[in-house]
Amino acid sequence: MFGFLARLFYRSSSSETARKRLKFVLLSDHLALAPDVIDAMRAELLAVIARYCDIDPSCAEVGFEHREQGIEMHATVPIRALTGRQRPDLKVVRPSAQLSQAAPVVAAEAPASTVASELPGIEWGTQAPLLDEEPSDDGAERKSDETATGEKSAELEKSAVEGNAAEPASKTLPVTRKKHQKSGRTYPAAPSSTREHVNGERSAQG
Amino acid sequence: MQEAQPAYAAASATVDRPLGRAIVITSGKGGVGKTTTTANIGAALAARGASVALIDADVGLRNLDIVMGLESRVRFHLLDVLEEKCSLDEALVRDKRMEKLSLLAAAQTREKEDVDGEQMRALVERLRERFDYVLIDSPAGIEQGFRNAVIGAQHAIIVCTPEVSAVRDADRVVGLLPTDWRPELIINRLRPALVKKGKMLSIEDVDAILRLPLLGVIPDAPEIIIATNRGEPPALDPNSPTGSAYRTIAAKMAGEDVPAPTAAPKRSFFARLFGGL
Amino acid sequence: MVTSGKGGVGKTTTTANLGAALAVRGHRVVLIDADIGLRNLDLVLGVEKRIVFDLVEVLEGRCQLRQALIRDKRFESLSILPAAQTKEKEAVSEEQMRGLVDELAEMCDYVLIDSPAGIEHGFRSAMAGATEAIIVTMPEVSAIRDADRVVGKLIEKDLPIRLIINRVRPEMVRSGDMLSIEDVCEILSGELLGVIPDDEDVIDTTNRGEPLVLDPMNRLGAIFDKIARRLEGELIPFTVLEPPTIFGRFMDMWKAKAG
Repeated sequence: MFGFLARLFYRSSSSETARKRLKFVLLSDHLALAPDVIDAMRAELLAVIARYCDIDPSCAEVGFEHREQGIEMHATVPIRALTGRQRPDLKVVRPSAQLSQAAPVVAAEAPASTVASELPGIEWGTQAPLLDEEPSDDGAERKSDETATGEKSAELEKSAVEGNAAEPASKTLPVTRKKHQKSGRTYPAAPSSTREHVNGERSAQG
Repeated sequence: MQEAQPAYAAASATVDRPLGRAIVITSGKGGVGKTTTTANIGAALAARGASVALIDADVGLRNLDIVMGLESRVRFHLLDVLEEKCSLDEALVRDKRMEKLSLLAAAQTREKEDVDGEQMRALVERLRERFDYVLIDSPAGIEQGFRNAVIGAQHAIIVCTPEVSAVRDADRVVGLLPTDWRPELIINRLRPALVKKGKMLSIEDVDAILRLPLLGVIPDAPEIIIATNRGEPPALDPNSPTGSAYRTIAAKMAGEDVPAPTAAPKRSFFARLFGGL
Repeated sequence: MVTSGKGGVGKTTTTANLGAALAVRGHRVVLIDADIGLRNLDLVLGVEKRIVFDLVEVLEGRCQLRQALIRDKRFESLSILPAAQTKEKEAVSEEQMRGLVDELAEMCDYVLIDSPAGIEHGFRSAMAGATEAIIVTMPEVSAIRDADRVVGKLIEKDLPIRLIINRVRPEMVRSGDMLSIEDVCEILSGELLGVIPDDEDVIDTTNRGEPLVLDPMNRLGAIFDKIARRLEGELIPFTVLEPPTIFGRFMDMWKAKAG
């Protein structure tokens, strides 16, 4: 009886559920990534951001969308404040020229102190091999980053992990912004490449 | 395996119960409800207390995970196990509703030709040691995927809809199964109203053509589409008419004496109206 | 080619009716049943008793192509090349299929290839002969997932893709229990060729072996006629599903309840 009335007056929407499930499954099919690998990637991405600022992982959303050019990954990570473990060497890694062309992103560069309090939700996209992409030399702080290691892309990670004293003290928003579109069928496995890279840097330094 | 076997299992297993039953669910024609049937019989058997493993043998076009609502938990798949990239335990996805129901998903990005028949046979054998029932969801057609699905089984359930093409394909598939098997038939998507109008083959018609022991009849109902949308097998819904049909089938498989399936009696307009209220 | 990934979504019925609709419009049409071992196109068109030779026998050179073609008695310009029932799909290679379709294409205006379900050998050889693809799917999670797999395979071969969405139940779409046309098109991103409602007449006509197009009063016949015209390149708007009324909603609920 109740079920009947409920059906009469409230529209149950199993098609909504179906739509969400389909999108999820097709994404997983296209990326050739198991759902839990996507979860792991999400967790690792958030962990990286969490090293720089105080985020609420429960409010963070990492999603994928089918675009004409392929699959786009984007993340929305509300930032509560920069962490107490702020380092003087934090800096912005910009997307390379090619990548920004593919999907221009509004840059949000501001001193950490002002940004920290007023970031309702930074849209944060990243390319899968997070730190392997060589950043472009388009900013002043970028130029000063060129250090003896020669591998600029590693600097962000290294400085975060090791606190490299040689780094200039550029206090800018420590949010990596890269937006990238890539054919889903060749999408690389994100977590492993990121992890390997970080580990590699650590062992090199240690 | 340590748990005491419930009494019902006696009928389907010998006293020492060395191995469970491996049953392939097949049809020839696609889209007649093999996957839905596999999921629901599995759920109904598990609800009766049996341990059940479901294998999706439709490599490249897997769907059992979707029908079960387990797509987000699939981490490894059939080919990972066959190629020893992971252990069987890692690949088996435990159902979220029932402890005793597990799923081994198919690989989605591989081809059916990648499956080695002998490895498949060995895998089913391993699962039989651990589960009372191993249900294998066969792909449509009679190509390599079908052969791989059949190879480890000892019994077949043929799913057929009351349509000429489905009956013809079912007949063809029976001819391809080992001659000493006695496959059982499930007639799916029966619409008694259409049968009455003479627009659909009746149970008797299908029976007369295929001449297989009838395991059950499932009525056609929109709730199946809704259930697939949601990933919840109706076998677990006590109010669902299709669910009750699946539970009857499970009872019969477990050796219970259930009356021969017939088309649901057609109720009058008022009976239906007030039955609904 | 007419394909779907998932079986039972209506490939064969669609092929038969679309072929008939094109023939009614004056085109010379040949339908190839590529589902070797599980042929059904002959049943849907009611020509199963007239089969003498089949596709595999043509390819093996045991008969002339013209001998194997069955001319439909109702539509002069419609012919069917039936599949072999006792052979394996592996009996036809991709090259053979391509050659055969090329030969037929010289004889007629449209060659419709009814692909088997799945993405195995039978699908690949059906695809080898085709220059464009029609994907038949249903507004169901599993059918769309399989269709998506097929889309991927067709894109690899650069075949243009168009969609026919079959078995749509407007009342279920309205009540939010079925994916809508928009949902399906968005997910599969293909050009929409037609929308076919779920109708019990399909079962009935298949039982009889008569294409729906034969009956001028049949609403599905009219829909296939529109699809045929879209295939010719005509621009025909899609009929909007009738808007829900209170009574209609009540009836839907009741039907859903009564099953």
